[in-house]
Amino acid sequence: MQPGMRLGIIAASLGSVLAGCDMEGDFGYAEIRINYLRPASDLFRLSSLALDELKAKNVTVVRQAVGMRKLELARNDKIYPLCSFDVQKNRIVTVTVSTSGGSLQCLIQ
Amino acid sequence: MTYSSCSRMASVYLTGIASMAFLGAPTLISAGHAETTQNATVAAPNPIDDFKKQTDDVKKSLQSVLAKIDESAKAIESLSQPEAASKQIEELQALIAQALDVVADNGEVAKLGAKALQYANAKQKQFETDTKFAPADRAMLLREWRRIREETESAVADLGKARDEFSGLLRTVQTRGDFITELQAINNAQRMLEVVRQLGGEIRSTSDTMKGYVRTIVPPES
Repeated sequence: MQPGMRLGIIAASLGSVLAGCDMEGDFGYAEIRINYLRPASDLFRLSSLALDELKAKNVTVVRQAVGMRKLELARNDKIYPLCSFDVQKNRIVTVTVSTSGGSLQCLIQ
Repeated sequence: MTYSSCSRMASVYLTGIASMAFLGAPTLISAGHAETTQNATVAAPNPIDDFKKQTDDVKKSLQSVLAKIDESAKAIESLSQPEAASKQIEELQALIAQALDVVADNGEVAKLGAKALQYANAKQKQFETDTKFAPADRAMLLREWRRIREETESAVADLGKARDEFSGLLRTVQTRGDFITELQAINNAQRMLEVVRQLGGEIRSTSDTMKGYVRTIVPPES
């Protein structure tokens, strides 16, 4: 391989690594609390991330890129949007899902 | 609750994580190797070994972050200026977020912990129904895998406790930070009010001067 070509490849690799660093961006945390007796088939998703921890527990803390996030419930092969909330840099937002008048509601703190 | 006491509480749980030294790990690894030798098959990847390595790394990185959190918390308590405290709290938040990052449910360590637990459960089940080994050997392997499963469960639970502690700590610090921001807003409003009052007083005084001046002006045809 020509030295010039090798240098070019190294420079390109370094560039993509640095670009990767730039793309990393800011993160915050979402704490999801489930506060109702639910059937085992109820699964939760946070902007397409399956919250598997909630299969066995009632609380999960997940790292999320900053911005608006959508909490959804997957029940009987259907997806139900529950609520949207803002994840801010180096902050934690707590979302408690509970029942009210037969329907599910989110309390965002 | 002071910032220092919060960080101390977190450090108690971190000591728990730090103590996840997997006392049984060497035995586990040798048991795993023994099994590989006996079966003479390709060595299966051992997620428990990976989990141990990861928790060792976690221990090191969290210890250094904790020392910084402690330093930052002490610095905040000595600050009296809200602006300086606000900046310091922001830095403290970043440090706690860094620690929470390590133990978050969707982080690498938690994923590896779940995998390690799954592996230990599978191995335990395997030896519960095993017919290949002599009963005494099988009993020994089963006993070892039960112990390893229990220790892995306990290590995963410690991670969970650290996660709860760090999320609680982050919430406390961000709420205090928000409170300081509100205090700053009150201070700013107070300063603004003083400026408006001063301006009002100056306008009144100028107005009085003007009125006095106007009174001294005598109309030409009076």
